[in-house]
Amino acid sequence: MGAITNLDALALNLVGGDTVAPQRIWEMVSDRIVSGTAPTTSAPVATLPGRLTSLWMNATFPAGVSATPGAVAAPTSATAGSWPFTDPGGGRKLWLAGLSATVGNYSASANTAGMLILYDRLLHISGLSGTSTSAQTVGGSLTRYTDGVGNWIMGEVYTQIGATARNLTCSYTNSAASPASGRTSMQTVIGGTSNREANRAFIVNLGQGDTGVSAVASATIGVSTGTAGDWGINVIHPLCWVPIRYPGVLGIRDCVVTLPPVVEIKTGACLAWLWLPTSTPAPHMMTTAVLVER
Amino acid sequence: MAITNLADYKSAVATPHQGVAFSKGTSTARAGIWSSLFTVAFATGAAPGANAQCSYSTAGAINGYIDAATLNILGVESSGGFLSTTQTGGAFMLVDRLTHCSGLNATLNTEQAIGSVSLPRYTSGVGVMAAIEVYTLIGGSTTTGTLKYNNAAGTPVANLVSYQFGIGGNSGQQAQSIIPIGLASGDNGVTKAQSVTLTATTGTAGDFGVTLFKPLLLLNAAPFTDTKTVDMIVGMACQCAAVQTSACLTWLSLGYTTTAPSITGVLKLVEF
Repeated sequence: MGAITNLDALALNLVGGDTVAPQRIWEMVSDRIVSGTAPTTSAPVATLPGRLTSLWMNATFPAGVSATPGAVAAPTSATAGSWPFTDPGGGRKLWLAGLSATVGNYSASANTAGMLILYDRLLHISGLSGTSTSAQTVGGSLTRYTDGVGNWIMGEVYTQIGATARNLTCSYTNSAASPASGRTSMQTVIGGTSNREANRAFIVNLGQGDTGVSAVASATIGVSTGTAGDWGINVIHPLCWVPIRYPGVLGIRDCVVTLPPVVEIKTGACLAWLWLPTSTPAPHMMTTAVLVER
Repeated sequence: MAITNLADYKSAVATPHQGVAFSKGTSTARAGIWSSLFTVAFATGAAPGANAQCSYSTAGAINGYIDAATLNILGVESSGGFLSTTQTGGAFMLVDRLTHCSGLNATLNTEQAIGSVSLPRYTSGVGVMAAIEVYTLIGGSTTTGTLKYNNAAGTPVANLVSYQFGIGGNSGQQAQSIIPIGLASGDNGVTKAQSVTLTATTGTAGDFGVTLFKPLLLLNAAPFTDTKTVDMIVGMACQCAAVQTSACLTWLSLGYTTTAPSITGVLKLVEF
């Protein structure tokens, strides 16, 4: 139970002949950003080549977020902003068999290439300040990938912070067999041009020897960026990459006939997207995924 | 034909129950924006006017197949030019067009009502997307708008308001532009479109409307000189779209540049 054993099993499942029919889910992520009181959206902030963009605050179909995360929480598949699906039952598991996506742009009428990254958003908090110099509490507890293996710390800007670049460090618990708390991450730049704008995301590199994070105690800037803004810390587990190789071309991630192979979608996963662009037009995404339950 | 293993599947792809040829000629394209090929030759549809249900018989639908039981698209095959474009790259989306209307004015900032029409298929509304569709050029001034709709709850809730979408100018001005709409928090589909309200004028009245559709397939385009055959397991990332009885199948294309794409090929349909 809980595996796609061979192509015979896959073929049977995909045509609906297995215990549970596959889920074929769709999502449209517009390039407009949810801001203020519903139904207000704002034009997207231009992305930057080589800089991660979080699509968490984008207006979507099915419906997405209506506000920033606020107090620390462990989002699930029921959290507004998550790409919804039906959890597996009967002791079975859910597997991502294929993913197809397009990226366009409705604000500048332009195409762009880049990389889409599907991840499971395990924990998030917003309301951190770009001017606070003390350790800002993150806290919370993971409900998936609780051993921390393969989890990343990701910073995310919701309202632009200051123009002065500073060094961010996080205090965290790693993913060792006997997890060590009080670990300190490598310094990551926050604030300043390219690292302060809304929807920017950045990965906080872990301390030497660490390969995952099971908890984040706090985040410290140390010196003010100049503007409080609003930013936060997430713990994420990356799941799948979808390359958009040329502007306007469909990106296909076939998890069956290519490597890496099928990916498990955990029960309650909060599926969300990052975009790593090669140019500035903000992404307007259309995507579909096939989830196999075995 | 029962498909129980890989061999059965390969056999079904090689000899499907039906092959449906389709061909769409040139259209108006804008880079980065989806275009509806509904009003594009061949099998040319028209601006619908009053809100109406769409079906297999609607002018503009791909309907060269026997509309019997639910069919499944196992593959798309080249026949001398599959999904041809005149430039490298591009993407297409096959949708089941459910309801549509036109006649809305892109200079008005008052609520414009849409006649009440129920979904003919996917009647729960789950997974049904709403989009603005432009039939005649609207203005170059970009503004925003909202859609008032009934959602896909067990008992649909009326008078819900979508998140603002952009319209006009770079956000969709040309005829055939189609602008998908983000729904209000908690909603996963639309059962009825009620009205559209623009924030400001786009500058030109033009003609636009609201289309409700169920997305079925995302496919890549091949250069005109290339041929391509894809199936559910190889090349379609496990997509296998079910085509309901009386479906109004139409294509959307994602503009690569302003060069108009063309598209020809065969859908391989199998009953199981």
